Amino acid sequence: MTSANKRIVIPPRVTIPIGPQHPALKEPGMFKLTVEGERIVDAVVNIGYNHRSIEKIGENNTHLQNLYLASRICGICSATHNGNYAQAVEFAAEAEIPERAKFIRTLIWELDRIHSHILWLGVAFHEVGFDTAFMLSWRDREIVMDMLENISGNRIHHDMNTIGGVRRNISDAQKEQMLKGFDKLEERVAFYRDVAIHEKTFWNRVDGVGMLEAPVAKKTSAVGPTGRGSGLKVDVRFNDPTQAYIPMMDTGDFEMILSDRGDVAGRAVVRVIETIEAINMSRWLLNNMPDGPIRERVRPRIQPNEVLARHEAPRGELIHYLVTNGTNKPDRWKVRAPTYNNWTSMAHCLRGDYLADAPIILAAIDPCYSCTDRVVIVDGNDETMRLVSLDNLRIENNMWHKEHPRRE
Amino acid sequence: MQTPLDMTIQLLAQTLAVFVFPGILFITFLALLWQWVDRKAHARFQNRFGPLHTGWRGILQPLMDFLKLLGKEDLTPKAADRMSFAAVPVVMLVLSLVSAMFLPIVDMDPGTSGVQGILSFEGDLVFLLFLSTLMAVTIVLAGYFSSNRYGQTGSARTGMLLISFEIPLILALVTPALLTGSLRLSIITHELSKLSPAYIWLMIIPFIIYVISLQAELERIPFDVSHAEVEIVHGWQVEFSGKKLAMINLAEDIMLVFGAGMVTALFLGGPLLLEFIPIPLFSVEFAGFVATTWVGWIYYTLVFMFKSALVIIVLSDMRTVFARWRIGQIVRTAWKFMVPLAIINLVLVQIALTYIFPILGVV
Amino acid sequence: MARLGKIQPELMKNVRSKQATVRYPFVKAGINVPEGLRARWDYKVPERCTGCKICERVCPAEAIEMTKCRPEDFQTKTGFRPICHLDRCVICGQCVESCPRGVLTLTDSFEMAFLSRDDMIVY
Repeated sequence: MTSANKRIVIPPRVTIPIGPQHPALKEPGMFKLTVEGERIVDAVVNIGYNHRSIEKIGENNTHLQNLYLASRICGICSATHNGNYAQAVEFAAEAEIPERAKFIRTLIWELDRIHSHILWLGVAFHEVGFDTAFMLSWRDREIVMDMLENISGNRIHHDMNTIGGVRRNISDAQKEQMLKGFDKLEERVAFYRDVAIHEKTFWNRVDGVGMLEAPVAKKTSAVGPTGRGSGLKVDVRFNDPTQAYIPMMDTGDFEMILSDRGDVAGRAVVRVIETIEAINMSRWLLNNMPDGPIRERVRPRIQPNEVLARHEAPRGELIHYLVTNGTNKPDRWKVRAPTYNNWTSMAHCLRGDYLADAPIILAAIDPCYSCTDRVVIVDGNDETMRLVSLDNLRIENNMWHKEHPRRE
Repeated sequence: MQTPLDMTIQLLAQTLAVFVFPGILFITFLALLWQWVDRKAHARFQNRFGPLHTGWRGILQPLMDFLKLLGKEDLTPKAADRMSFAAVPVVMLVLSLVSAMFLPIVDMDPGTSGVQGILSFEGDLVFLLFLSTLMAVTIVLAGYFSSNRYGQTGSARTGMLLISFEIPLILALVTPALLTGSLRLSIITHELSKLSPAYIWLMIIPFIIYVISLQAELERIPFDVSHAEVEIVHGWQVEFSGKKLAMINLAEDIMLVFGAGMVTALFLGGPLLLEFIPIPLFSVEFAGFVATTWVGWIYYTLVFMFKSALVIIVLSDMRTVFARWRIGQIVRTAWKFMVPLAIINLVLVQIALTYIFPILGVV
Repeated sequence: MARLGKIQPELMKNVRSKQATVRYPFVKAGINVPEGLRARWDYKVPERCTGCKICERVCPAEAIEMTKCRPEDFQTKTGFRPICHLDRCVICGQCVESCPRGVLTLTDSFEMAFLSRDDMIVY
């Protein structure tokens, strides 16, 4: 009655867009997933929606004004862009800043790292549906935000740096408050490291998901916790230290956090342990801060020079490339954000996994598209696209809506 | 032979019962109240306030959400089938209201023993399971009628989820029916209250299975996969807006009332509380007093609401503690863990009834 | 290592403790405003201003505009005084730092939302 050969039913291929606007994404990015049933077969990854022509605006501003522009490239990693740009200009001017300024600048960098990693943890919890831990981790992040507000006057966009040092000093009362806050923060982050990420429903979602093997990570040049979660030894603080990282690495008390798991769980564990390590580093910086002036006068006209300033942002290695020409405005300024290296590995991670894993894989590299978008490539000869100016777009839109009235 | 006046009064009383108490209006009131309890408990576990400003401690917030949704714009996508798309919320609301009318809140029929709901007949447990399966089919069709990719994915997931968890649900309900020998909800409640306390040991595992399956049937975290907000943007509900979405939310809340009511009626002893105390003052005189006078109406309602609220808090705790599972993991949990547990439970109940209880002398 | 319901003890602790969220704006207590907070721009000491226009030049957001002194203002040496457009201001504080006479300051009044753009000019 039944035929001898079995019929294998393949579900049809559907393209599900995790499109420019989606509740899974914090920033716009286009991910076209070709899905067969629940399994992702192919993924097309496209960014460039957040391009704001920062480098062009930077060419018309003085170096001092560019500090604030750099700080506002991204909200989460704003201290890193600020400090890295100040570092770049000081390298170009070949100016030495006082020791206390180096320590304060590094302290702000480490506090920024703590707040960014806890933010990522909360977002990762939310992407898997673990809303309770999302609320709890963002409640504990308030401890760091209060510390940052105390020191710098603002929760994000700290603007602590200036060319030649830092702008605000840390008083002894603030230092005592911060040390007390660190004790409380350390026990809270230890709770996340030991208890919250080992909750079975959460661990099932991140264990073995989004595998990025070490050879692939090396080939796509992954940086930051994405690379360290696959076993690559990339960390600018240890490989090429600047500012106060030099005396810190000389003590030998701190070590690079690596994990050889390669999946999303590995990256999560790396970030949580890095947070605790950053708390230890901040304590060391506070306790060993030398006295002295906090800024040094640097003349506004910077000598012609070409420098590359690197720094370990929470997401990876951040590069500011600066060409100065003797005036007080930069000649060319290029920002290479760490997410630029990491997002090519996303397409590789997405293939072969389930549709339900797509949000957590996208969030696992800690994407910051605002930092990354520098250029949008538009092919004028492409037949599938039309280039329309903004005014024409409005007219076309209104005409279309008049021809297709909304039905009730 | 009744006079026409008697018949009119009886008709009016029944209409009042169906529409006001304990019918549609009361069930809607309970649905909004339990949504408030759920949101407050969820917030308290997470160390925050929950709804706070509308009414006393935010108790009017679910009502305000419902009214707000009624006033929003109601869009139908062009590719969707208009009639079926508009019919889905109505069908869901009707199914959930009819299911909730079986709950034994107050005694509508003092002639028969036990607390009857508005609707009650022999074999109504099977009818209720049939209604919940119809609900599952409606939800699956709702996603397809939206003709949206996210709705399609949501429907496929919902189908798998609801069908997998219907089996443990039904198997867990067999135990109370077995112990009391009836398939009528009110008779089960009545007979269970007369059994000796040793039978509680037999009811623990079915209770746990039923609560977990209820969480899955209501599509709450950790079984939230069919409307996972970050993946498929509300799944099968994605195209509904305005009045239709308000009705769907209300239908889901009424299913919460119904589920909690079933747990109360079948496992927690229904609207009887003080009658369990073995002193004759309570178990005989008080029971007779409340069963026959108007005091009984208030007493039964309050006890029922109190027990349902406890069940809602347990469900809220489950919602708060867990993350969201993938559909593959949910189906694996259902078939590899819940179904064998339910079957083993049935075997254990039979062994206990046939061999162990006669040895222990339990009647 | 991975068990179900691992954070349940933490949740039971949360039930007994005070809530972490504050009830701003209905109740203004509980938000701790630190003393160095950078918020609304203020032309604090008009008597020391000379109208040198340094603040207008260093502002990265072009938020400060030098206008002619009104009759009720202190008349500066050049006849100009700065006003700040709050909708462009990024509250960086560079004007405060660059002013050679310490005329400007950033106060800690952080409620800066208004209903019309004209209300957002600080004189």
